[in-house]
Amino acid sequence: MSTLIFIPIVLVIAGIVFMIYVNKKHKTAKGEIDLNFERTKYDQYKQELLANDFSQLKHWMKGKAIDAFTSASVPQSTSSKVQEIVTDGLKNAALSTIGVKLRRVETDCFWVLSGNDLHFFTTNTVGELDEHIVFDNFRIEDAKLEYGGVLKSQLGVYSKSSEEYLPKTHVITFYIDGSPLSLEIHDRLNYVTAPEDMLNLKKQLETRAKYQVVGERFLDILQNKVPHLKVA
Amino acid sequence: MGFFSKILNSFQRLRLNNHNAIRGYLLDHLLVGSMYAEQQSAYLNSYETGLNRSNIVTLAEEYWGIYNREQAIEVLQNLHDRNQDENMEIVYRAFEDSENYVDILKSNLPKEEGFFEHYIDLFRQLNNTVPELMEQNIITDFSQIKKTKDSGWNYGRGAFLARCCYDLGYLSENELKEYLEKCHTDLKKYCTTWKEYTTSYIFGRAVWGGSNNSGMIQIANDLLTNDNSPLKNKTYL
Repeated sequence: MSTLIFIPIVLVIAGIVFMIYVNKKHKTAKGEIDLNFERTKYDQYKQELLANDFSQLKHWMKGKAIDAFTSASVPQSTSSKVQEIVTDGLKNAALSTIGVKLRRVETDCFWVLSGNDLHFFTTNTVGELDEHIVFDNFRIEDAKLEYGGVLKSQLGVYSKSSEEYLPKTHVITFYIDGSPLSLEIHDRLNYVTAPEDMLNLKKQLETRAKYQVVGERFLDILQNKVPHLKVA
Repeated sequence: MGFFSKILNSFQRLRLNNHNAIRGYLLDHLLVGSMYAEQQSAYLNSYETGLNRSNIVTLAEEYWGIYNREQAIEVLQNLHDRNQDENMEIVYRAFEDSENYVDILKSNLPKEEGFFEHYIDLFRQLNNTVPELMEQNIITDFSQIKKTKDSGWNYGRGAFLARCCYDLGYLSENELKEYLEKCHTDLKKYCTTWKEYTTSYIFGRAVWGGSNNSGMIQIANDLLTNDNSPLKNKTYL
């Protein structure tokens, strides 16, 4: 019998050992992060992320204050509705003006709360600013907020064990001249592992924690600003 | 026929009446309506518009709801009074104070349903329009607009619409002259130069109709710089 038969067996065993090793390391690294303690560093993390990973937001806001920020998305239902608006013509001019800016659903989007206004940014496929929509205080006061569950567009991409990393969403629905327009607020900033961090689990988890700490505070700050905006 | 004559006219930039031209200070009064007149490819320098009667009827009836003399007077008076709308002052103040705009608008605008929303919409239009006009180099800062407001748009439309009403027999020549003089006098309270007038017209139209004002910008440039334009060598109103 050839010794070649042992090669796949060795590879399978090595793979299992590696997975056990990675899982153990993951558990250890995760155990080192106390999310409650991390939450106390919100201000520090917010400034850090605005200075580095999300510095584009400062540029897009053109010097206006950034009170809070997080990731966002355009629900498929909104995108489909926008398509109807475009196809059927301008029945609601204000909604059409906003709606045509929301046709892209798969690229990164952001919310920024600045003073009395909510700024919604969409990006193109290379992360550059695509559209900037401002919802003023009067639109926010009329809006409705409800829990939207785990971000549906990302379900299925992750394994069950990774579900904890999926963003949970709230859906905010604005009424533009009586017509509803829904957008999603994520409870964390969207994290994509940088190639140089692929093997650095500790750094990945630390960054994820920062993104969560900063992103999850967005809704609280918004609700404090607009108390009427309670979850339906 | 009307449609084709409009197309033909649109190729003849700046229509001038060579037979019945108005001159001197009366021409200045007439030119308050020059932006709207040029939009419609009408004569710039005479009381008669030179437009096909069916086009004037369409404009008066379908766009302005004017079917008779009484309605004409009412609409023209309304356009004349627009610049005295004190609520617009509140909207402008709110626009300039982004930190306190909510308080300014809530505490000062009329609460009646429909009114408040109307001014909030104008506030939103200001937020969209002013940055766009700055990007297009139509204005350098908001203080320019704060001075002129949308006076050019209001008096400008009134002045040209009055000419249409004159063509339709709803106003006499004397009434038209009086109205144009009043427009000119009141416009001067807001605009010092004809350039300010055209800018104010573009601004007013942008607030009313949103983006895509390149046509208006082109008309303003033509009026101010074309050698055949009656505005070419005029600076001050």
